Amino acid sequence: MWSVVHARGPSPNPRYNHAAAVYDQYLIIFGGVAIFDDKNSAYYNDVWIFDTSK
Amino acid sequence: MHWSEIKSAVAGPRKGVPLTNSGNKLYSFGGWCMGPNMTAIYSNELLTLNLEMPHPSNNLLNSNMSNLSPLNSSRFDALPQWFTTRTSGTPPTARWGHSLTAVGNQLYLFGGCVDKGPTNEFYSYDIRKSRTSNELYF
Repeated sequence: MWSVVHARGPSPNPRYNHAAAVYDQYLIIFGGVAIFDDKNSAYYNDVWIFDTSK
Repeated sequence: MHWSEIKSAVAGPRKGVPLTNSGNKLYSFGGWCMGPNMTAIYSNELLTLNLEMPHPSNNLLNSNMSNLSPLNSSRFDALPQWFTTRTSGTPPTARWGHSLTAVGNQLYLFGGCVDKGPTNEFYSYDIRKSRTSNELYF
Protein backbone atom coordinates (compact mmCIF):
# COMPACT_ATOMS: atom_id res chain seq x y z
CA MET A 1 0.00 0.00 0.00
CA TRP A 2 1.32 3.44 -0.99
CA SER A 3 1.33 6.37 1.44
CA VAL A 4 2.54 9.93 1.19
CA VAL A 5 5.37 10.57 3.65
CA HIS A 6 4.89 13.87 5.49
CA ALA A 7 8.38 14.70 6.71
CA ARG A 8 8.75 17.55 9.22
CA GLY A 9 11.10 20.48 8.65
CA PRO A 10 13.11 21.20 5.52
CA SER A 11 13.23 18.66 2.70
CA PRO A 12 15.31 18.27 -0.47
CA ASN A 13 14.38 20.51 -3.37
CA PRO A 14 12.56 18.96 -6.34
CA ARG A 15 15.01 16.90 -8.38
CA TYR A 16 15.50 13.89 -10.64
CA ASN A 17 18.36 11.54 -11.52
CA HIS A 18 19.60 11.60 -7.93
CA ALA A 19 20.96 8.56 -6.09
CA ALA A 20 19.62 6.97 -2.92
CA ALA A 21 20.99 4.35 -0.55
CA VAL A 22 20.21 2.79 2.79
CA TYR A 23 22.42 2.71 5.88
CA ASP A 24 20.79 0.97 8.84
CA GLN A 25 17.44 2.73 9.21
CA TYR A 26 18.61 5.83 7.36
CA LEU A 27 17.59 6.70 3.80
CA ILE A 28 20.26 8.85 2.17
CA ILE A 29 19.80 10.94 -0.98
CA PHE A 30 22.62 12.50 -3.01
CA GLY A 31 22.77 14.87 -5.93
CA GLY A 32 20.40 15.06 -8.87
CA VAL A 33 19.20 17.69 -11.31
CA ALA A 34 16.74 20.57 -10.93
CA ILE A 35 15.07 22.58 -13.69
CA PHE A 36 14.22 26.22 -12.96
CA ASP A 37 12.94 27.29 -16.38
CA ASP A 38 13.50 26.50 -20.05
CA LYS A 39 17.14 27.57 -19.98
CA ASN A 40 18.26 27.09 -16.39
CA SER A 41 18.95 23.89 -14.54
CA ALA A 42 21.24 22.95 -11.67
CA TYR A 43 23.16 19.87 -10.66
CA TYR A 44 23.07 19.20 -6.94
CA ASN A 45 25.78 17.79 -4.67
CA ASP A 46 23.82 17.91 -1.42
CA VAL A 47 23.28 14.94 0.88
CA TRP A 48 20.05 14.42 2.82
CA ILE A 49 19.36 11.83 5.50
CA PHE A 50 15.89 10.60 6.49
CA ASP A 51 15.50 8.52 9.65
CA THR A 52 12.79 5.96 8.87
CA SER A 53 12.47 4.96 12.54
CA LYS A 54 11.02 8.32 13.64
CA MET B 1 33.52 -13.53 -12.74
CA HIS B 2 30.94 -13.05 -15.45
CA TRP B 3 27.52 -11.59 -16.20
CA SER B 4 24.48 -13.81 -16.73
CA GLU B 5 21.39 -12.45 -18.40
CA ILE B 6 18.07 -13.39 -16.81
CA LYS B 7 16.40 -14.01 -20.12
CA SER B 8 13.00 -14.75 -18.66
CA ALA B 9 12.82 -11.30 -17.04
CA VAL B 10 11.27 -9.20 -19.79
CA ALA B 11 9.72 -5.77 -19.31
CA GLY B 12 9.33 -2.92 -21.75
CA PRO B 13 12.48 -0.87 -22.46
CA ARG B 14 12.88 2.07 -20.06
CA LYS B 15 15.39 4.47 -18.57
CA GLY B 16 15.56 6.60 -15.44
CA VAL B 17 14.24 3.67 -13.47
CA PRO B 18 15.38 2.69 -9.96
CA LEU B 19 15.84 -0.83 -8.67
CA THR B 20 15.97 -1.94 -5.06
CA ASN B 21 15.78 -5.20 -3.19
CA SER B 22 13.97 -6.43 -0.10
CA GLY B 23 14.08 -10.05 0.93
CA ASN B 24 14.31 -12.21 -2.17
CA LYS B 25 12.61 -9.72 -4.45
CA LEU B 26 13.68 -6.81 -6.62
CA TYR B 27 11.35 -3.83 -6.93
CA SER B 28 11.18 -1.19 -9.64
CA PHE B 29 8.78 1.69 -10.26
CA GLY B 30 8.11 3.84 -13.26
CA GLY B 31 10.71 5.06 -15.71
CA TRP B 32 10.85 6.77 -19.09
CA CYS B 33 9.46 4.44 -21.75
CA MET B 34 9.20 4.80 -25.49
CA GLY B 35 5.59 4.77 -26.59
CA PRO B 36 3.96 4.63 -30.05
CA ASN B 37 5.49 6.96 -32.67
CA MET B 38 8.61 7.38 -30.51
CA THR B 39 6.76 9.47 -27.97
CA ALA B 40 7.93 9.41 -24.37
CA ILE B 41 5.67 7.78 -21.81
CA TYR B 42 6.25 7.96 -18.08
CA SER B 43 5.44 4.72 -16.32
CA ASN B 44 3.57 4.28 -13.05
CA GLU B 45 4.00 0.52 -12.80
CA LEU B 46 5.41 -1.19 -9.75
CA LEU B 47 7.34 -4.21 -11.01
CA THR B 48 8.49 -7.11 -8.85
CA LEU B 49 11.08 -9.73 -9.78
CA ASN B 50 11.11 -12.77 -7.50
CA LEU B 51 14.65 -14.14 -7.23
CA GLU B 52 13.64 -17.01 -4.99
CA MET B 53 13.21 -20.06 -7.16
CA PRO B 54 12.03 -23.60 -6.61
CA HIS B 55 14.83 -26.05 -5.96
CA PRO B 56 15.59 -28.12 -9.09
CA SER B 57 14.76 -31.32 -7.21
CA ASN B 58 11.21 -30.14 -6.59
CA ASN B 59 8.34 -30.70 -8.91
CA LEU B 60 7.80 -27.14 -10.17
CA LEU B 61 4.06 -27.62 -10.47
CA ASN B 62 3.70 -28.82 -6.90
CA SER B 63 6.30 -26.65 -5.22
CA ASN B 64 5.12 -24.64 -2.24
CA MET B 65 6.75 -21.75 -0.47
CA SER B 66 8.47 -23.93 2.14
CA ASN B 67 10.36 -25.78 -0.59
CA LEU B 68 11.92 -22.70 -2.14
CA SER B 69 15.67 -22.30 -2.12
CA PRO B 70 17.75 -19.17 -2.68
CA LEU B 71 18.85 -18.02 -6.09
CA ASN B 72 20.55 -20.71 -8.12
CA SER B 73 22.59 -19.21 -10.94
CA SER B 74 22.36 -22.33 -13.09
CA ARG B 75 18.63 -21.68 -13.45
CA PHE B 76 18.90 -17.98 -14.31
CA ASP B 77 17.38 -18.34 -17.75
CA ALA B 78 14.47 -20.45 -16.57
CA LEU B 79 12.18 -18.80 -14.08
CA PRO B 80 12.39 -15.24 -12.76
CA GLN B 81 9.84 -12.97 -14.41
CA TRP B 82 8.57 -9.48 -13.77
CA PHE B 83 5.18 -9.09 -12.18
CA THR B 84 3.09 -5.95 -11.96
CA THR B 85 1.61 -5.39 -8.53
CA ARG B 86 -1.89 -4.07 -8.03
CA THR B 87 -1.28 -1.35 -5.51
CA SER B 88 -3.63 0.40 -3.13
CA GLY B 89 -3.46 3.59 -1.08
CA THR B 90 -2.05 6.77 -2.62
CA PRO B 91 0.27 5.62 -5.42
CA PRO B 92 2.81 7.98 -7.00
CA THR B 93 1.99 9.34 -10.43
CA ALA B 94 4.03 8.28 -13.46
CA ARG B 95 7.64 9.50 -13.32
CA TRP B 96 11.27 8.83 -14.18
CA GLY B 97 14.62 9.70 -12.64
CA HIS B 98 13.32 9.15 -9.08
CA SER B 99 14.84 6.98 -6.35
CA LEU B 100 13.31 3.85 -4.85
CA THR B 101 14.95 2.35 -1.78
CA ALA B 102 13.93 -0.51 0.48
CA VAL B 103 14.33 -0.12 4.23
CA GLY B 104 13.15 -3.37 5.78
CA ASN B 105 9.58 -3.93 4.61
CA GLN B 106 9.08 -0.39 3.34
CA LEU B 107 9.97 1.04 -0.06
CA TYR B 108 10.69 4.78 -0.13
CA LEU B 109 10.23 6.71 -3.36
CA PHE B 110 11.58 10.25 -3.63
CA GLY B 111 11.41 12.87 -6.34
CA GLY B 112 11.78 12.31 -10.04
CA CYS B 113 10.40 14.02 -13.12
CA VAL B 114 6.60 14.12 -13.41
CA ASP B 115 4.50 15.94 -16.01
CA LYS B 116 5.33 19.33 -14.49
CA GLY B 117 9.06 18.64 -14.13
CA PRO B 118 11.16 17.72 -11.11
CA THR B 119 9.27 17.03 -7.88
CA ASN B 120 10.16 16.41 -4.24
CA GLU B 121 7.17 14.18 -3.54
CA PHE B 122 7.98 11.52 -0.99
CA TYR B 123 6.13 8.19 -0.77
CA SER B 124 6.38 4.98 1.20
CA TYR B 125 5.11 1.56 0.15
CA ASP B 126 4.39 -1.17 2.67
CA ILE B 127 5.48 -4.44 1.08
CA ARG B 128 3.57 -6.51 3.64
CA LYS B 129 0.33 -4.78 2.68
CA SER B 130 0.76 -5.38 -1.03
CA ARG B 131 -1.93 -7.43 -2.64
CA THR B 132 -0.99 -10.97 -3.56
CA SER B 133 -2.81 -10.78 -6.90
CA ASN B 134 0.33 -10.07 -8.86
CA GLU B 135 0.05 -10.34 -12.61
CA LEU B 136 2.71 -11.40 -15.06
CA TYR B 137 4.04 -8.31 -16.81
CA PHE B 138 3.35 -9.64 -20.29
